[in-house]
Amino acid sequence: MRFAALLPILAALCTACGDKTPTSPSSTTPSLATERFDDILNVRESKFYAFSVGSNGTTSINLASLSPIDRPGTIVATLEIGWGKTVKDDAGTVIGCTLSKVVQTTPALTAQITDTLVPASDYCANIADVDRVIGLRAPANFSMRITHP
Amino acid sequence: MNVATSLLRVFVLPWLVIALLAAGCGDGKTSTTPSNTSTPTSENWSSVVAPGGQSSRSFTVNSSGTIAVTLTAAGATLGLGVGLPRVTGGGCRLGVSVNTAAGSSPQISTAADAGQYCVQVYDLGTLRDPVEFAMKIDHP
Repeated sequence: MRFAALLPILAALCTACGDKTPTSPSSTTPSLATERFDDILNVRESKFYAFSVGSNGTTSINLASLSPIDRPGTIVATLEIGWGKTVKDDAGTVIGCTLSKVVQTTPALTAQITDTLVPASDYCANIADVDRVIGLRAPANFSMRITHP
Repeated sequence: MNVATSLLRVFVLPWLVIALLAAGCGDGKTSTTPSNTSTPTSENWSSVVAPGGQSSRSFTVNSSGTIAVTLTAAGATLGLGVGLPRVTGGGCRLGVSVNTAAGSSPQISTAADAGQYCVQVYDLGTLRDPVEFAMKIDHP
């Protein structure tokens, strides 16, 4: 009799178990786009590339390659890369890049700059040969990767 | 059946069953770390580089990690590099390069973010005839 009285409790405990319903992991990570900025940089020159950040998230900038114009291989030189806000004329054409952050770096296959760019807007990545001692001795091909939301 | 056995059956056994059932619950809240790893991949590639020429191959790195390239066979000392595939046309924009002979351990080992990459073998200006080579590329 006493055991029978406990049957409802046992039933309740059993139904409380087994909550194994699979749930999808919550994900608020925005999709990322990777853009390439490939060009030639001359000695003491700077160039920029405009890109649009679509939502909040992490933007990474990577100077991945610096190579000679006329032969295969790599160049050992330190350049300045950075990001900033685009400058536009009255017609909305991008005419400049006002830098917010710069670092001096050699090429690598991992991002040298990782920042959260807010608000979502138009930004620019910049590369410049600024150092006469450790910078370029001749024009060079460069490749940058910009990964952003 | 003695008195002790009866007491055990009536009072203790039901609660023991309840305790066991209750202990079986509650593991649904265990936090787990999302898996974000990729299986290491090893690719073998063999080809020929001509005098004054270069040969390249692309591959995909699925997650951040180390790219290790081993020139395992080559008839001469060659240029060996890792970089990004050109946006247009073929070839490679190198980020890391060495001049090397064949060997059994990686001549290039470099950290890399996830993305598209390429390896390139090129003549250093010393070849008079085409040279065969073979390499192994290990990456995440």
